[in-house]
Amino acid sequence: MINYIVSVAIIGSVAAIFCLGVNVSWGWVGQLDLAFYAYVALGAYFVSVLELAPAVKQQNLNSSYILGLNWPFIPAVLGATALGAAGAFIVGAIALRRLRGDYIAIITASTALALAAVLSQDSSLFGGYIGLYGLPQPFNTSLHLGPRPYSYFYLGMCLVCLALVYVILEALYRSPFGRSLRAIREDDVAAAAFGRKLYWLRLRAYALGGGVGAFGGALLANYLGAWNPSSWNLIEVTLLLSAVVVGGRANSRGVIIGAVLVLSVIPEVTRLVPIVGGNADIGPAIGNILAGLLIVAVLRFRPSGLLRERRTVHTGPAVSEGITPQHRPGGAQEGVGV
Amino acid sequence: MCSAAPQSDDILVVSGLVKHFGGIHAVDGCDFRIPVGSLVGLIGPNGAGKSTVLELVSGSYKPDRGTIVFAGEEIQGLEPNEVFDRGIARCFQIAREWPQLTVLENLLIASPVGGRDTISFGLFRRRRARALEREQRERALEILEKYRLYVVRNEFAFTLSGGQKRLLEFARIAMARPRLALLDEPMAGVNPVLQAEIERGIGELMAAGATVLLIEHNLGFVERLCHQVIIMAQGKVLAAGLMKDLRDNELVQEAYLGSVPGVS
Repeated sequence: MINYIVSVAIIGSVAAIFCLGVNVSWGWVGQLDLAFYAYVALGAYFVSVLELAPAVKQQNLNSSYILGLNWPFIPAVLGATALGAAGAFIVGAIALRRLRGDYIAIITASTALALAAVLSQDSSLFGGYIGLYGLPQPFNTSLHLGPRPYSYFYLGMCLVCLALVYVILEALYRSPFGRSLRAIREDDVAAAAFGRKLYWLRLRAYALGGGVGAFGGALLANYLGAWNPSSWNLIEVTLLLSAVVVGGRANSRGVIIGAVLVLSVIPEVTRLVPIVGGNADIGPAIGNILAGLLIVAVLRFRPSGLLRERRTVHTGPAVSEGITPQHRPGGAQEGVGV
Repeated sequence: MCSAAPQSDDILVVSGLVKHFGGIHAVDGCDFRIPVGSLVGLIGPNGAGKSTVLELVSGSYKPDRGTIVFAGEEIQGLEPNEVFDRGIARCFQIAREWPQLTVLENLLIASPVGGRDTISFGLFRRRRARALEREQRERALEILEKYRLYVVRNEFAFTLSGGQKRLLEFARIAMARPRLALLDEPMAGVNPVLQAEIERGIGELMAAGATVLLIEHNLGFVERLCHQVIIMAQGKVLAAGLMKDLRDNELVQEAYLGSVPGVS
C-alpha cells in the first residue's frame, strides 16, 4: 500500500510541475497551448537519449535512437529541459508571430499531432513505436538503495524539484517580466502602447512553459525507466488545462492543488470502484465524470478557480503628506496578499 | 499653466498622411506640425479622422502613405512599443486599464521599460531589479497621490469608477514621462471636478517637459488651454492656428455645424 501511495505522490508532483508549466502561457499570458504535452515528451525523449548508452543494433529489432551520450542524471535533465524549451521556442516563433487566440490553439494542436506522428513512425530518432527503455535509476549507482527506499528518495527529489519550479516561477510572476505578461493578457493593445514587446514577451513565456514541461517530462521518464508514444497523447493536455481551471489560473498554489485533485486524487480514488458487470473501465469512466463535474462546479460557483489570482499588495507608507491618515496603512513591507 | 509661447522647433511633423479602410478615406492627405513644448488641440466633427491620426502617430495603425517625423526621425510604420520607446505615450478615448492588475501595477507597467522585463533580470539580477523596482514604485506612489488614487493603489483596476479610470489613464502617462503625449478626448464623460483634475494633469505633463496633442470636442476648453488648434474634416486639415482666430472661420463653422458635404 505504501509503495502505491508513494507512486501516486511521485506522479502527482510531476503532474503539478506540468500544470505550473501550462499555467505560464495560459494563466499568465492567456494563450492556449495545446502542444504542451509535446514538450513534455521532448523532455522525456531527450533525457533518455542523453542518459542511455549508444544504441546497439539488435537482431529482429528495427529501432535505434540518436545521441546515446551516457550522461549523468543532472546534466541530462538540464540538457533535456533546454532542448524542450528550444522546441517550444521554435514552435512559438512561428505560432505567435501573427496569430492570436483560437488560431494559436489550432497551430499548437497540429504541431503536437505532427510531432507524435513523426516520432512514432521514425524509428531512428527515438526508437519509433518501441520507444526508449532501460533508463538507469538516477543516483542509485552510488546510493545502492532497494526498491522501496529508492522510491522514497525519488519522491523527495520530485518534491524538491516541484518546490524549485514553484519558487522560480513565483519570482518571475512577481518580477517586471511576469507583470508585463499579465498586462498583455489583460489588454495587449494598451501593453504595446506602453512599450511592451508583445511578440518577444509571449515567445519567452511560451518557451519558459515548454521548458518547465520538458523538465517534468525528464523526471517522469526517469521514474518510469522508459518512454514511448503510448506514454503521451494530445488529450493529456486537456487534463492539465482542467487542473489549472479547477485550481485557479495564474495562482501557482491553486494550480498545484488543482493538479493533485484532478490528476491524482480523482483517478486514484475511482480505482477503488468495484468492477460491475465485468466492465473494468467503470472506475476510469467514473473518474472522468467526477473530473468533469468538478470543472462544471468550479466554473459555476467559483469561476476564478479554488484559489483566485493574488494581488501584489503595497503596504508601505505614503511617500508624501498628500493623503489623509486613515488611508495610510502601517508597515513598510511589500508583500503578496489575497 | 500653458502660458509659455510655443517654441520654433517642431517635435512632430506629419506630411501627406493617408489611411484608407476599404472605401473609407479616414485620413486623406493630412499635414500639420506640432511645435515642441506646445499644447495643440486637434478638433473636428465626428468621423473627421482625428482619432485615426492619433492611432497612426502612436503606431497602432500603419499609414498607406505619408510621413510622420518625430524629433527628426521618421516613425511611420514603427510598432507601438517602438514609438513609445522614442517618447510618445497616449491615452485612449475609452479608458483601457489592465483590469486584473492593481492600480499601482498599472502605473509600474507604464514606466519606461529599459530592458527590465526579462527572465534573466527577474531571476539573476534581483538586487538591481529590487532597487529599480523600489525607485519606480516610489515615483508611482507619488503620482497616485497627486491623482488621488493612492487609497485604491492595491485594488484591481476593474473596480475603479469611470472617472477614476480616466485619472488612471492620466497617471499612466505621467509615469511614462513622454516627450509627446497624445490625449484622445480626455474630458469625455467627465464631471467638472474631474475636468479640473485633468486640466491640472495636463499642466503637470507640460511642466515636466511634454508636448501635448489633444483631441477634444469642448471648444471652450480648447480655446482656454491650447496654444494652437488644428481643425480636421473628412480626413484633411482644414485650418490651423489660434482658436480665437479660427472661431469665425467659415470652414470651421461649416465643419462643426455639419454643412461640409459628407460630414454629419
